[in-house]
This record gives sequence, C-alpha cells and structure tokens, in this order.
Amino acid sequence: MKSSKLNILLIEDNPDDQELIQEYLCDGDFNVNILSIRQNLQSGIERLKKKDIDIVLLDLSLPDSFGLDGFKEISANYPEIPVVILTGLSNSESALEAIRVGAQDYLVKGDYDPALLFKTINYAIERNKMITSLFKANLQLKEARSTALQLVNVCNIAREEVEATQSDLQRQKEGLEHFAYVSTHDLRAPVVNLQSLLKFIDRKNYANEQNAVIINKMDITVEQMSETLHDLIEVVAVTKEAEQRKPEVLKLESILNKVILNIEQLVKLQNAKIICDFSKADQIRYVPGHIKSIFQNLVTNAIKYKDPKRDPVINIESTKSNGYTCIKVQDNGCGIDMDKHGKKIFTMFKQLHIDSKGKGLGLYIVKSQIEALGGKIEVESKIGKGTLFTIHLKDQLNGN
Amino acid sequence: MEIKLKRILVIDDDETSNFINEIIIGRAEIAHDVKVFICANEALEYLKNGNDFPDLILLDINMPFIDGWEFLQAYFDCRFNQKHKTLICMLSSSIYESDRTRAASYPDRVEFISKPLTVESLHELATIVKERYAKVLD
Repeated sequence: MKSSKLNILLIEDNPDDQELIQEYLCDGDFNVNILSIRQNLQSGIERLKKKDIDIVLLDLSLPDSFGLDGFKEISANYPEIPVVILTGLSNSESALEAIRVGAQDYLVKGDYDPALLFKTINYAIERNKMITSLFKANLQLKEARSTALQLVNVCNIAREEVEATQSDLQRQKEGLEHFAYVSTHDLRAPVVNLQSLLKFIDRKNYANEQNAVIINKMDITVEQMSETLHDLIEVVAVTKEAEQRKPEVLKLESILNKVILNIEQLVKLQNAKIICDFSKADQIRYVPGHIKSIFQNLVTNAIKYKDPKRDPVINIESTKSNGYTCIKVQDNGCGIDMDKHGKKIFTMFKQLHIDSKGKGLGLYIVKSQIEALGGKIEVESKIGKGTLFTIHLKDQLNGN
Repeated sequence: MEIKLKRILVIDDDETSNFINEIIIGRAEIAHDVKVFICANEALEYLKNGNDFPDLILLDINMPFIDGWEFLQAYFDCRFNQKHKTLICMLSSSIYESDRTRAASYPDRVEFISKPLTVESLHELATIVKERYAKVLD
C-alpha cells in the first residue's frame, strides 16, 4: 500500500534520531515529497508558514522548548496540521498528556520500526482529516442551529402577529355580521311597514278619514327609519374615526357644556340637573367627537330613563390612573334589572325600556367607540335607585 | 273561512306593525278576537293567568326586554305546548335564513313568516291550526 505524496516536517535536534527517521522514510512504502528537518521549535514554526506541511513529527526535548510547550505553540497557530510526538522512554507521561490536548499520536524513540512509523503517520493524517471534517461539520451544525433558532424566533413573532390579526379580523367579522343583520332588519322593518301602509290608502276616495290615520303612521315610520339610518351611519363612523382622526387635548367640561347645549330642550323639559366635577382630571388626550358622543348618549339616556317619581339628577366626575382617564356618570333614574338584562345592555338592538322609540344603538355605539381606542365601560344599576356607568378611557398618544 | 279561530295573540313592540297586522287579520276574517301585546312579558303573564288560550300566536323576534326566542323558551318551559294545540309563528322583518332555520329547529312546530304579513299567509296558518285540531278529534 502506497500513501499519497507527503510533506513531512521533522523537528528534532538529535542527529541520530534525524538519521533514523530519514532512513525509515526513504524506505519501503513511504512516498515522501518533502522532508524538512529543523533543529529547534522556532525554525520549525517558521517552516510551517509555507503552509505545505501535511504532518509534523515533534521531539519533546528541543533546545528552545521542553515538554508540551512546543506542541501547544504549534497547535495554537496551526490547529489543522496533525502532530505526532517523538519521545524518550522517560518522557512518555508528557506524550500521553500531549495526546489528551490534541496531538494525534506518539512514538517512543528506539521502540518503533518502519512499519509502525508508516502506520502512525498515515493514521494520524487520516484521523486528523476526520477530526477536521467533524469539526467543520460541528461548526456548520452550530451555524445551522443558530439560523434555525433565529427562524423559529421570526416564525414565533410572525405567528403572534398572525394570531393577533386573526382575532382582530374575527372580531371585525362578527361585528360586521351583527351589523349586517341589524341594519337589514332595522331598515327593512320600516320599509315593509311603509309598503303595507301604502296599500291601505284608499286611492278612490282620498277624502276617506282612514287615509289621514295611515299617513300619520307613515310619518312616524319614516321618522323611525331616518333615526335608524342616522344611528347606523354613526356606528360605521366609529371605526373609521378611530383610525383616521388624530387625538387632541380636550377639556372635559367644555365638551360636556356643548352636549348640554345640544340637548337643552330635553334637559329643560325634564327639569334635569347635571352636576360635574372634573377637578381631578380636567382634560384628556383623545379623538375629538368620541367624548362628545359618549357624554351625549349617557346623559340623554339618564334623562330619558328617569324615575317617574323624581326629577333626574346626573353626577359626572373624572379621575386619572395609569394612563387611563376614568369618568363616572351616575344617575337617579329608574335603573336596570342587572340579573335579567345585564348581558344585553351594550348589545346592538337590545333596548331595555318599552316606551322609547330608539332602536337601542346608543350604548352599542358608546361601547364600540371606547373599545376601539383600548378602553372599557362598566355598568352598575339598581331598579328604582339609578345607574352608574364607569368608563376607562385610554389616553391616546400623539399620532395615535 | 268557514270556521274562524277563537283568538289570535300578536306580540310585537312596533306599534305601526301592530296597526298593520290588525288590519290584515281583520281582512283575512280568520279570527273572532285579536289580542295585541307590545311586551312579551305581559303576553306571558296573560297566558299564565289562565285566560282563554289563543289558537295562534304571531311573535316578533326583535323586541326589548324579552325577545321572541326568549318568549318561545319561556313558553316551552311552562309546558304550554303540551297542554294546548296553539300554533306559534315567528313574524319578523328578518330575511336571514338562520332565523328561519332556528324556528324550524324546535321540537314543537314553529312557523316563520318574514314581514309583511299577508291575508294569504294568514289563511295558510289558519289551515295548519285547523289540521291540528282535526288530529286531536281523531
């Protein structure tokens, strides 16, 4: 068996040993291309700089180095080159130690023949090739692993984003389905009524007194339809507004005053008293329009659903905590039976008072407006005592 | 109609709808008496108080307090359907198939009519009611 052409560096100061190895290498199966011989470690390392050496045979006792130091210096600078240690009998401990720290093999002087030298050199080279490729593979694995981890991270982030988007979409979808149901029903109802009423009109005798009654019903129906349409448009506006309008610093008291002015007639008619205390939190950074809509709906409700036995009194106060502005709207109205109707209060459609004409969209709009901007609304109520709405509005940052 | 129903109950919170329903029921000439409730709760009280039971109930779905489905649940909870042959018909502006399917899902037959109520649909309902009574006589 012939080995491939080898470039061998022998670092050995003993002429006898040099000669012996030279002799063995020239003999038999070896196919030596270059045999460089150096007397000391530094000149050996100098020779390695050419980077053409396949294997180093290193004596452990050199003029400029003794023991493992020489090996350590070579392997630190040329880790890819296999090293076989040459050692005397007395120094076999060091040889073993060298193998532990990475030398390929060792030969005990005077205790090897050409065959063993051949085997040792070739095994050392082959083993080194394997170790080098293992080392490379390990590096690649590590790289692959860290790439994989990065990918997993990216995937996790993406998944979280997708999940958030999905639940957002699901909520929007449910909202839209509900909206579609309510709008088709609420708009279809008056249209159907109008169609029926039109058929009842006596067209042969317009003076028929019954016609006046029917036309009056038609007036009511058209009015109802117009209100529903207005409410539905407001529901649509809620989401759009939250997306488009920039938050501004708003003074709560001046907004409330504008609302009271808007519903002046209702307030006077019912002799309602509105008391406010905004001293703890007098302004909020929020989307304009929402606060007004919230005040308008809650105050109007409080007056509309007053207790018939007393004039309505509405207390409004505000506080701040942790980036939220809390507004409480308390009335002394007829109250809501929370056990029976608690769940329905904020649902589109569910109107909890018989003698009102609204379609029950007001509180739905309020809730949508608040939740669209990260806030929440809660309600407590007792029949005959009144109702308390607690709203937590999230202060909006610049640029929303 | 040869034989008229004794009584029809109409439960709807919309007064215009009730105005229309009463005129249509009158024109269909299928009942001696029509009772109208704008609140499902009051209708339920009326039935519980042992008044003459109606042969037909026209029930709106979307109402405040108790909606049509909740009324229906209460009606079955009171086991009225076991004591009486009364036919219940949901009468709604809804054109959603899901409402129609939901009405059909009850073990006891529940009809569904999408408004407007017409003389023809009332005649069909009256025929179903009469068939029910005929079965009892068998």
